[in-house]
Parts: sequence; structure tokens; C-alpha cells
Amino acid sequence: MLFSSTVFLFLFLPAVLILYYIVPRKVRNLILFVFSLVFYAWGEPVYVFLMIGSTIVAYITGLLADKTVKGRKAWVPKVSLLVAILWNMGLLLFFKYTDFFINNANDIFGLHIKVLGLKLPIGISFYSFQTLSYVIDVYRGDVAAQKNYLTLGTYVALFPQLIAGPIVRYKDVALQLAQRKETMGQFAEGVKRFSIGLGKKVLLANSIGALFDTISNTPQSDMSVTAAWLGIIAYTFQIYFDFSGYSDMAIGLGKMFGFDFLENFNYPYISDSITEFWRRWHMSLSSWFRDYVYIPLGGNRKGKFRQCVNIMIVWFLTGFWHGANWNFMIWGVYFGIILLCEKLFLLKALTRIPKVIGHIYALILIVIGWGIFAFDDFGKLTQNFKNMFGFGGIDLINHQAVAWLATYAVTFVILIAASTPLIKKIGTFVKGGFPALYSCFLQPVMVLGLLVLCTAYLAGNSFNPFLYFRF
Amino acid sequence: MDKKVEKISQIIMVSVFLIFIIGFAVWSFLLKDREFSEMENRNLAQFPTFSWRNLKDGTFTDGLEKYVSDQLPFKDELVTLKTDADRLLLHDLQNGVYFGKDGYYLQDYKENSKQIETNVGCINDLAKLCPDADISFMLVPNSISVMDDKLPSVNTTDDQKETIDKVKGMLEEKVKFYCPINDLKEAAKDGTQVFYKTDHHWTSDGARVGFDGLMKFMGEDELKAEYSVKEIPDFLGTLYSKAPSAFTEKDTMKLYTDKNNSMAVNYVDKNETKDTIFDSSFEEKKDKYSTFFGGNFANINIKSTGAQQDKKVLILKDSYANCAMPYFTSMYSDVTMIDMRYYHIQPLSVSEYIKQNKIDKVILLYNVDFLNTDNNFVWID
Repeated sequence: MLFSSTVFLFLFLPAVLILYYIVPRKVRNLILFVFSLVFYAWGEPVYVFLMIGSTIVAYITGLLADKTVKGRKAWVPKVSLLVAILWNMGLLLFFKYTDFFINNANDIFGLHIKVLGLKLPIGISFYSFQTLSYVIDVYRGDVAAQKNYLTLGTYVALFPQLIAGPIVRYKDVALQLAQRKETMGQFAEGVKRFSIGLGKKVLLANSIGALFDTISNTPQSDMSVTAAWLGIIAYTFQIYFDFSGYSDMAIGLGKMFGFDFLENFNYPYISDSITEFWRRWHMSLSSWFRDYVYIPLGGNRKGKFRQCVNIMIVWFLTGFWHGANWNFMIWGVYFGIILLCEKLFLLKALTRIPKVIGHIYALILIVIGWGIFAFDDFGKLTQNFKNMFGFGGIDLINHQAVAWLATYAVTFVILIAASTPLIKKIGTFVKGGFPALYSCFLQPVMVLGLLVLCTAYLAGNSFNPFLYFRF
Repeated sequence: MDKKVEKISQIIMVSVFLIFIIGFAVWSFLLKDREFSEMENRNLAQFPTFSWRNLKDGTFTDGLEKYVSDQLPFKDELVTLKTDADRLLLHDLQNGVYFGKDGYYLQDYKENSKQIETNVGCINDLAKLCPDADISFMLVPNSISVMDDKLPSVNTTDDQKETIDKVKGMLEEKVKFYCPINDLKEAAKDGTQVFYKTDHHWTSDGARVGFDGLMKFMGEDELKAEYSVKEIPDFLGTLYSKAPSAFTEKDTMKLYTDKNNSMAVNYVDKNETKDTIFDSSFEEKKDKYSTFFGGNFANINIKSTGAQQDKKVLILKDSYANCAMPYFTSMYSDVTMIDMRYYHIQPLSVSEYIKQNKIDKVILLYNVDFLNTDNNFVWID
């Protein structure tokens, strides 16, 4: 089920909210758990058992990974940690990457192994990472093992964050899972966050996504250099508003049920360097890789050379995590190399030049990065880069490109403004001047307006896919 | 901000949200399910039937999703809101329709050369099958071409004139080709509304311009009939439905009736005969253009007693011909309309029909967009 669907907004969400708040506190986790399973099973009724299986493995290995239990032999936690790693990584490799390896083996060695053709279980990349981090944290002694299966099951299945993150870590919500107190203030905050997220997705990402789709399906004869850039810039905005919108909705929904998830995005496109960009983009993923891959590998503690190797490993894996395709690996390595350069010398140089140049530098590299990310068809990917840099044998600009520019000019202005803290600053400014008017009238009216407008766009759009569902 | 105000603001925010989502849920629950949407011109999804198998393979949940979104309360109003919000963002091409000047919706045109070649090929084949028949072809340009001065300055529509020239060049010599583009343009300049603002058809007046031009082209006498006119207001056509804006000007449809003609209109397949070409049951519905004949049928034969000429005419046509029939029936005593979209498995092929019924004149009447997209021409042969 998608958050940005009428069935979620006007059937699922009202039902779960009403039930959640009329039952006694003791059974609230059960309500969340059951509704989360329904939510998951909506599109893929069978894979829900895979997720339940994963939770059972996490539950048992989590209990056994606890080193503090008296009388437990030293090998038990080690083995259970290993089991957890093998299970989660095995699951991910099997469902996500088997066909990729088969295809490549076939290509390279001229084999004819049949692909499995498995549908990727939704959210598997996210919940595998979450259950794994739980067992690792228990093993490390960072958090106590959860003895209640339902509580752990609620954590894994929790529908707001289930299918596209943010990657919520167990230790961050352990306390809230066991005992949380939902408040009116938190619910109101959740409503705002959810509405903003819905608006980002439905109003902004979908609109500009339509432009990217159109341009990437335009025959080469109608393309121009301008159109190629326009298309990839459109994608740059689409993926940001799509994904951060989803995170906003997840965080907002979490608040409605009394949870505080960590932030996942912090205006990534205002960054002045790629290092800064990755501190602002999909923060829950980068910090996961930092804590569970980079630091265990030795981080920066084993000398410059090992650090460089570690960085490259982490970024190769980050890329590969996004999808079983070469372009994602290249994308990861691309950022790994840039981050290495910045770490070694570029960042110092950037501090000496005007900020605006650093900003332009970062934006260009980000957009080129999305140019790698956007196409999992290698032919299309290279063609697009040829087009962008004038090797496509096409005009700099043509009539079609002018038409797109004219049609989307206003949209782009809105997208740029929405990528910066500008709107938030205006809100804070108005709130400072007229606190009561703003909070009791203006803000509710804006939220209602957003909801009505989003519903209108949902009613008018059959086109509504989430980009991050693939991962 | 003081604590009390903050508390109140939170309660307002939460109430707004809950009333909105629960309100929609309850409202759509109370509202009676619609079976058909006039606006979208399609059947709406109904509540899906439940079975374990449906649940397992996902068809139940799919069906439920379609059901909820199809039966959404205020759906038409919401789509209108979206259209106007997009217009505000200067998206003047929506869903294949341009918002033109003076309230004209103009349907985008992209030439499909392959389909054109196939279709013209079929027409040529027919001409070869009936070497003795007198065949004329009127190809009517669409509003986007005739009213091109109403187009937004930045647009990427294809030029229909190129298609028209191409068709002309491809046709067999014995098919006499006429395109009323200049006549229509001139009439429009003189203030005649030749196309609807909200529908993809030409108006009854536009059809008259085309008809007069065709008669002149074929060397016929001028039409002398006198008509009474009935106006059907508040017409919102198919192009409006594609991008419904709240600021749309409604059209008025004109029904012309020959004062001195009486007709026997025979729907051949249904074996039903009426004395008028109008089906008044559509006058109050959204699909007002179907007032002409009640829509499109495989084969309709019209015999007129007060016609100007005693001739048997076959018209191979699309829906553009429907509103031109008041003129054709006043001119010719025996007119048969065949619509190839529905004339599929019939006892007589078109060429056989022409020969067996001793047709004096064959007229093909199609609009450019139809010739460019329809794939039923192959049934002609």
C-alpha cells in the first residue's frame, strides 16, 4: 500500500487511528502489529511470512546474542550473531541479487543458467538492515535483548517505516516501544509532517517526475543538450521530493502513534560539498553503514591507507544496496572517489574559495550522480551522458526543449524554493509576529489546503509510483 | 506563545486532520456507489468480491484500491481543482489537450505516419475493388489546425496540413480528394463558430461549411433546403472531460431540421426505423453529441421524401459525419452511413454493398485525427 493513495488515506489510516486510540494502552502494540501486517500483505500477501520469519530469527538470535547472561558459553552469542548476519545478508542476496549474478555469469562465461525471476519482497533492504542492527547492538551490549516477541515484531513491521525507511534502529525506539505516551502536541506535529510529506510526494515529485519520464522516453531525434540536462535535473528533484516526502510521512505517522524517529533528510541540495551532501541525504542509511561497516572495518583508526580502502568498501556497498545493477555500483564508487578526494585535499581547498562556487561544484556532481543512478539500462545511461555533454550529435536546444522549459518554469521555481529552508524560515517569521493567528488559523488552513490539493492530485493521477519501492 | 494557545492550536490541527480523513471515509461509505461516470465516460469499479484466492493473488486488494479511488466523493470536483492548479503552474497542455485562447480546448496532434499509410492504403484498395464507383473523400482537419491562431505560442503539436498533403499525394487518382481547411478557416474568420470549444467535433455550422464546400467540389447544385433550429445549451464535451477546468465556457449545440423533408431512418442491425435522426434522450445527458443518431452504428439507412436529388449515396464515416446528416439527407433521397468501427462481420463487404445496392456516389468523410489513429480501416476490404 502506498501512503499517497486514497485507500491508505481514507480507509486504512482512519481505521488504524480510531482502533489504536480506543483500545487500552496494553493492546496498542498489538493493533499496530496487526495493521502493519495488513499493510505489508496488501500488495504481497505471501512475503509477509518472510518478514515474520525474519522477525523470529531476530528474536531468537537477539536473545542468544546477549553476552551478559550468566552461565552462557562464550561461543553462543558469537554464533547467534553469525546466524543473524548470514540470515539477513543471505535473504538479501538471494532475493535481490541472485538474478543479477546469474545474468552476469551468463554474459561473462557464456552460460545459460535460468534466472529465478523472483519478485523483490517490498522493503526487504530496509527490514534486513533493521533486524541485523538490532542483533549487533544486543551483541555489543548497546541495548538489552527484547524478550517480548510482539514488541520486537511491532518494531520490525511498524508500517510507517516498513517499506521505504527511514532505517529506524531498535536502540533508538526501544524505550518508546515498551512504554510511550502519545500526546496531542506530538500528534499535531505528526499531522504537519505527514501533510508536508504528502505534498512533497504528490504535488512536487509526481509533477516533475512526469517531465523526466517524458524526456527519457523521447526519441533521440527530438533530443537536445538542454533537454538532457532538463531531464536529469527533473530527476534530481523527483528523487529528493519523492524520498524525503516519504520519510516525512513516515516520521509524521510515527508521531501520530507516539514514536519519534530520527530525521532522514536535512535540505541536501543546499550542501557546499559532497561530504556535506551525504551528511544531509538519507542520513539513516549513511549512519548505518558508518556504524556497522566502516567502524568495524577499522574506520580511520588503522592509518590513511586503510581508511581509504574502508571508504571505498562502504561506498561500493552503499551503491550496491540501492539495487542489483552495475549503475548503482558505479554510482556508489563515484561518490566514494569524490568523498576520498574531498577528505584528502578538496575539502580544504573548498573552504578557501567563495561558498557559492562550492555550492555549484556540489550541485553539478550531485546531478551527474543522479544521471548514473537514474538509468539501470546501460545503453540509455551512456546515451544520456553523451547527450548531456554534446556528444550525442544533437542540437544545443530545440523547439521541444523550449516548450518544456516554458511549461515547467514555474514548477522549477517552486521546486528550488522547496529544496531550501526558505519556506520554513518564512513560517517561523510569521509565527514570531502573530503566534496565535499563525498556530490556530494559518497553519491549520495551510495543512487542510495541502490535504485537499493532494487529494485532488491523487484523484486526477493514476500515475503514482514511489521510486524507493525498488530498493 | 502561551501554553493555552498552544494547546488550542494543537487541538485544531488534529481535528482538521481527523475530520478530513474520517469525513471522507464516512462520506464515501454513506454515498451510494456510482456505476458509471459521465465525466470519464466509463464504468466505475465496484466493491470487489472476496475470496481467499483473490486475496492471495492480490486481485482483491487491487480491486479495493480501484474501488476506493473510483468512488471517491467529489471526484469530478477534485479533478477540476487539479486541472486548474496545474493551469496556474502554466501547464497549458494537459492530458493531450491544449488550453487555447478564447476558451478553446484544442486536442494535441501527433502524426502517426504508419497508421495513415495503412488507412489510405485501405481506401485505395476499395477504389480498386470498385473501378466503376464515383468516390469522393472529404478529410476534415481538426480544431487544432483550423483554429491554430488560438494555440498557446509555445506548443509542440504537429501540422495537420502536412498530413493532409501527404494523404492527398498517396491517394489513387480516381478518389476525388477535398479538404475544407480553407473554407473552415474563412468561416471562422467571419465569425462562424465552426468547432466546439469543449468538444473534439465540428459544430453543425462547421459541418455546413464543409458540406457546401464538398457539394461545390463535386459539382452539385447548392443546397436549397430550409431549416428550423433547436439549440441545446450547456454542452461540455470530450475535451473538457480530459482536462476539466472550472473556468470553462459551455458550448451550445444546434440541431437543424429540414422543414420540408420527412425521413425514414433505419438502423439496419437493430431493424428499427425512426422518423428523425435525433435521439432526444441525450439532450439532457453529458454526452450531448450523441443526440445525433444516439451515437455511432454500423449501418444506418435514411430515405428522404423531400430531398433535392434522387440519388443513392453511401457515406463511409466517423462521428464527424453525424452532425452533417441534416444536409446530406436534404440533398440525397437515399443515404447509407457505414461506420467501419462497427461494420465488421457483415453479410456484405463494402465493395459488395456498393455494387449490389447500385450506389451512385460514395463519399468518405473522416477527420484527420481519426484517420491518424483508427485501426478499423482494414475492415473496408
